[in-house]
Amino acid sequence: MKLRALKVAEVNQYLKQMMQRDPILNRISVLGELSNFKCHTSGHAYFALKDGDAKINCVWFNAIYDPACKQLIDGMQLICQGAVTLYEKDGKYQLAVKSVELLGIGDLAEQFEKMKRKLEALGYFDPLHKKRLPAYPNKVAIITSPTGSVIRDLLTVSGRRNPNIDVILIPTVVQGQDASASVTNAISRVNEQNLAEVIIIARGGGSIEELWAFNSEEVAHSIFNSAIPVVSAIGHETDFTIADFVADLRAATPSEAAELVFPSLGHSKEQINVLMYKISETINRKIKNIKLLLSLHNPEREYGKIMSVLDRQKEMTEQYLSRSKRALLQHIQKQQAVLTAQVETLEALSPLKTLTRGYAVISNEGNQTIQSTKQVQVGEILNIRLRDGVIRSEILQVDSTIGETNG
Amino acid sequence: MAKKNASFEEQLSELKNITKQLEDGQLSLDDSLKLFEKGIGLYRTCSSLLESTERKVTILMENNEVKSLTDLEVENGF
Repeated sequence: MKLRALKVAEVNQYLKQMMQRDPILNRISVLGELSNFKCHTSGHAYFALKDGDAKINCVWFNAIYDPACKQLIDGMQLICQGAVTLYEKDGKYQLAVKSVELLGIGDLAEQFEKMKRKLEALGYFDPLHKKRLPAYPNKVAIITSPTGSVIRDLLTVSGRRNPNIDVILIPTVVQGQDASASVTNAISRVNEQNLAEVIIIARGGGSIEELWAFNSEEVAHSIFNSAIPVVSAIGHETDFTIADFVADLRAATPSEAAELVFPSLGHSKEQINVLMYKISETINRKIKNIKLLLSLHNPEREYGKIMSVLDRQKEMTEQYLSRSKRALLQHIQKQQAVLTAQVETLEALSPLKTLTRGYAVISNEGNQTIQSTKQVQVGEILNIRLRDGVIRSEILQVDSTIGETNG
Repeated sequence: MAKKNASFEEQLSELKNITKQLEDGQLSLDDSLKLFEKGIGLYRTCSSLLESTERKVTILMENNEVKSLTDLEVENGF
């Protein structure tokens, strides 16, 4: 009998059901080393359990609500309890984790919690004890290993942000049995010699064992008692140590520590430039207002007013003057007219006027007007004055009889 | 290096204070000008504080001996 070929989905579905029914796979505990641990914002965690070359992918739904989730670091030994299930979409199986038991650091985690509770009760973490960082320090002390990426990051970022601030590096052992004493010693030295205005304690990421020095009471004590403010940048963003809780400020990374401690030079420059601009603007406005006020009370303005009054008076005077002139002229013209009329009358009476009507005036050489024949003799020269001139004539004959008859 | 002794922080807060006083506008012209002059002085000091860009990087050795580092050494990871 030949079985029919199954569809892919049918095979995966079949396997899934097989796994679900299997009493062992359904409730299994797996021991392995944690790797590629990632906790998503959804709250689910994805990781793998390794054992030599073998690997099982794991998914832990709602891992974020389990306090153990925060303590997980790659490399830890864990026992994961859950069910093996099949992810039908790609035919891969995975361990759906229900709970996690930490093995390797179980003891350390407990010590950490104990120390944390103790110091918290002593008030070491109290915000009241946190010192404010200087906004513009002149010197910064860095307590870290003199080699590696941490000091390089700190120096690079600080140099870029503010090449104006001096840096003193205190080389420190940051791992192993001597680390705790080395860090404590460094903090005391900076305080005793007053080397800086702020301290950065930094260390790169590592396992809880590697970071253990920063969970010691010794270090906590010396940070708490430091008169100089301390910024901690220990491990990765997700790592918290006791030192982080005691420090005056905790930075997630060494770069962030540099950013918190070293004020940006560009920002400072901009800040003072803005202030200078504001000051100039204000003073300019003030001066402008005063100028305006002054111009309102300017004596030149008064002078102008007086001048305009004078101008008006001058104008009026000129008006009067021209009116007087006109009146005078009229008066003169009237007089002239009277005069002309009189002259005309006079002219009418003038003997010269008679001449125009055809009469003549006769005079002798002595300029005597001749009115009688008795005044003349034959041969005498007479001037006969006519309208338009004088005729010079000689008497040819004198006859007195005509005049007698008439007279 | 005498300039370094004057704290930038103090000078900046003084400059802020002067700006505020001037902006309040309650002062006489004479007082305003005096403050303005003072503000310019502070601005110059602040600027010169920011201008000196020669930082010192030193290593404090175990025996309290101090070793200087140049920026080049810093870049190359000493």
